[in-house]
Amino acid sequence: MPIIAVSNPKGGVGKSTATLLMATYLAEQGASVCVLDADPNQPIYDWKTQGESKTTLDVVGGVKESTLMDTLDGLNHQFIFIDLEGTASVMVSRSIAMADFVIVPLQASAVDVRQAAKAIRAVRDEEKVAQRSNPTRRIPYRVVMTRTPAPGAPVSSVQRQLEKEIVAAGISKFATNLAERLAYKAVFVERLTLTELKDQKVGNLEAAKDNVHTLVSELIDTLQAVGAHGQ
Amino acid sequence: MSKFGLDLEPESTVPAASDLASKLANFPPSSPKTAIDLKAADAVAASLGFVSREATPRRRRRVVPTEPKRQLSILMPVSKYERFVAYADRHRLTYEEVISRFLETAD
Repeated sequence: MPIIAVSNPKGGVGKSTATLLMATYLAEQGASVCVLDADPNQPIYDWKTQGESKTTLDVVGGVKESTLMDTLDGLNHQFIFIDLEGTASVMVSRSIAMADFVIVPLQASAVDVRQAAKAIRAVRDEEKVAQRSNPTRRIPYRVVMTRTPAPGAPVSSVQRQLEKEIVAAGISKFATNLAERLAYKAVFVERLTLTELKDQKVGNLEAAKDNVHTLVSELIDTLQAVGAHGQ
Repeated sequence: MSKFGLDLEPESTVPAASDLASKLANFPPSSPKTAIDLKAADAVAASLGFVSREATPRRRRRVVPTEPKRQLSILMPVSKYERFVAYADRHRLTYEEVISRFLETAD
């Protein structure tokens, strides 16, 4: 049962989009998946309760700092994602402390990167605190570039420079980027999964689905490689 | 027949989604989690600027009967202090009301 926290104190980087896409895709592959919506705006809880998606994904809304641990203890899913707010809050730090894996989405902008660095520092420091009582405790993390140009489109020099600096800083990053796509916006507008959008004109839907498949495959391989099975 | 001995059997191509679905079997649905030290986790988070965004419940004010009063200052361990305050919050009592309640049960 890996608990996967999705965090960047900067708002608007695509945390909820990335979380929902990965979680619904895993659910479609037959996994039991739950998203804790810890964002005060409740975007994923709203998506699930106000929409007509037939997804088997479970969503728990209204999670508070004081109820987070009990909520997690009461779940019985193969994967639990915690979609976090875009602020540096105790909810975020506790979720990181309880996570088996942390995903830090970030766009190619200086502000996003600085806030992402805050999340990464929190992950590293929470890991050190946890190791005082459990020396084997690890909180692995990966950065994922979001809202990037679709493959084939020009990549900005800012993005290229950022990717080089991430590697140089020894920060682990997903090889797969999550591109900016019409279909991902449509998921939230229509409150349907990517697969359920099949009859709608939402750009290159197949490419959008392939992008998520590649990202999720990399996530699963990474979780297995770092031993983050939640055992 | 290949002149270079490349008469190999074609590689089986398993659809990518099936690979993923089979890998998911390695993830069990639940497992006992080690309890985390929330105080220590919150302390390190505070040093990094992570603060609570949740409003604390307002304490209700009540009119108390007129009677001479004396101040009681108590120094206690942090854990007992937090239990005392949490009890007052949970039952929506002032600290004086909590002590009165405890005194009633003690007598």
